[in-house]
Amino acid sequence: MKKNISCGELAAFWAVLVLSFGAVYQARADAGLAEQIAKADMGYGEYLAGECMTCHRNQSAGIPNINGLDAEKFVTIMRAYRSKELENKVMQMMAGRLNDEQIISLAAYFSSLSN
Amino acid sequence: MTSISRRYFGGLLGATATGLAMPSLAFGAAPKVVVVGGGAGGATAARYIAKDSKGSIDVTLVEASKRYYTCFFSNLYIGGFRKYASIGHNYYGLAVNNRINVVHEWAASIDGAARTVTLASGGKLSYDKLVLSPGIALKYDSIAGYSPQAQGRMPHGWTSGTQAQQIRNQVMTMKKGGTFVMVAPPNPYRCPPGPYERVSMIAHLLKERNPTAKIIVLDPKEKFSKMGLFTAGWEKHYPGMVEWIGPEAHGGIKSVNHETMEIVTDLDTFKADAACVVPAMSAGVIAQNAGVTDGDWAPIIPATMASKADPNIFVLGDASVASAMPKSGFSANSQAKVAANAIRGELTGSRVYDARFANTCWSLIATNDGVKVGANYKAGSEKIDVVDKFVSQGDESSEVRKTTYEESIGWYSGITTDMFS
Repeated sequence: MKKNISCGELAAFWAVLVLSFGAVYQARADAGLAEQIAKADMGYGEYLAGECMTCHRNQSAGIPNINGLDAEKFVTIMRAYRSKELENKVMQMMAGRLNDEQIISLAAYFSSLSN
Repeated sequence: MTSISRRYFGGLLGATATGLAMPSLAFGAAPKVVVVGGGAGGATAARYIAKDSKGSIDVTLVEASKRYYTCFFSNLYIGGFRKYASIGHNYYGLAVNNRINVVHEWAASIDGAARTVTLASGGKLSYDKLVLSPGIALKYDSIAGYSPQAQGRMPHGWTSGTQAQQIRNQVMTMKKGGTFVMVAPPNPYRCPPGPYERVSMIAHLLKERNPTAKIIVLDPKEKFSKMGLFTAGWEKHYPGMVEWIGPEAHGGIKSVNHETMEIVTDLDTFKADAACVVPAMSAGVIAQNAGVTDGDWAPIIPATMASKADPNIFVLGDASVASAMPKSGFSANSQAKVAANAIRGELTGSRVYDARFANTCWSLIATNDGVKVGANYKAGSEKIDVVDKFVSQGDESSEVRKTTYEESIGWYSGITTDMFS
């Protein structure tokens, strides 16, 4: 039986296609991310983490606890704040001055902590 | 030079210099750090030095109070958004979890040449490095008629604790339709948005309990932190209640009288039913005593927070001249980490990383209406310089303002854990 495809379904199809392509592209670009995280400078990460610890401590309203956060997820989120894809003026500013090496050092350090 | 070698350079240099300058290390004795002041700067510095040196540095914290009431969020207590107990903290975490020797006394004097701190009781502490984070001293004589005697009826409330309780009580018991007068301080002072958040919180209390009351703000400054956001907030939430009068209009604040509750300006004499008078400020008295101040405040070397007058003394927070950084708890906490890193490097040869600073000041205008201003900074050769900054916008949705308030609650929980756990 023939099925009419609605505008909404078509839009969803394209959205999934574009997102999948984006994810694959990002994965290719980050092929070495796990390796970079493994080789990260933990001491530098610990020092840089001091800036985050002023706010990120306890699970309370407003600010999440980031101890134990998956390192690759950490990198993805911080890059999204840096490029201002994620909203929050404080985080956009804090991430804005971090280069990839610094973000990776932070990711390695925070992922090593117990939640 | 690569970024890595630049980063390690300070540490190597520190290690070499330390080996020569610190004979105590050669004999295996733990180097000694004394921290004076257990607030956002001092508590953080003591904790980071103790924690990161893993026992290789002997840390003593001198703080007179056994329970510390934060200045930040004391306005929220005044407004009824926080319980008084929730802004009080003790030193159990620093003493027990971090093995810091917490001495509950006043530091009376400092001998930079002998590297000793003499306590009010007469006891003495010796140090290799001294951290001074004494906060502010109030310049009572900056307003004629103001004094420690006058602050009972005209509390400044600028050191939290009992003074904040007095302000809240004044507002709660003020006569119906009465006038609250707020005398704001001149620049530079602790917590730039603080006087205006306080006005907001008092207005919030009065709106419910005493809606015909008025608040008059007498300001020695032409403009103030987040001015547009506060004045728009007052019009929106407390229409007709708050009147801000700047120096062009009042012509100068001449004197106060706590017995008649009058505040005299060139323009007029204001009769208050309740008042908050915040005088000018300077670095805490012990910083002046230590000889590290130039005028009212202590100049520092931006890369380390070391005093320009004595390389073995580090000055943090409100007492320091931190150039573009405002005098705030967040700033002090940020500066403490830079100093802790530099001090560990000098004493143990640990790596010294590039100094980086940040600050955000959240203010609450009314229920779920939070605003913020912030910046991050780097160490220039002479000054601490801004890298990037932001401020809440006037046209933000109520959703964003609510999120900003919730974020401030998370920050309070975070910074107090960072200071005291």
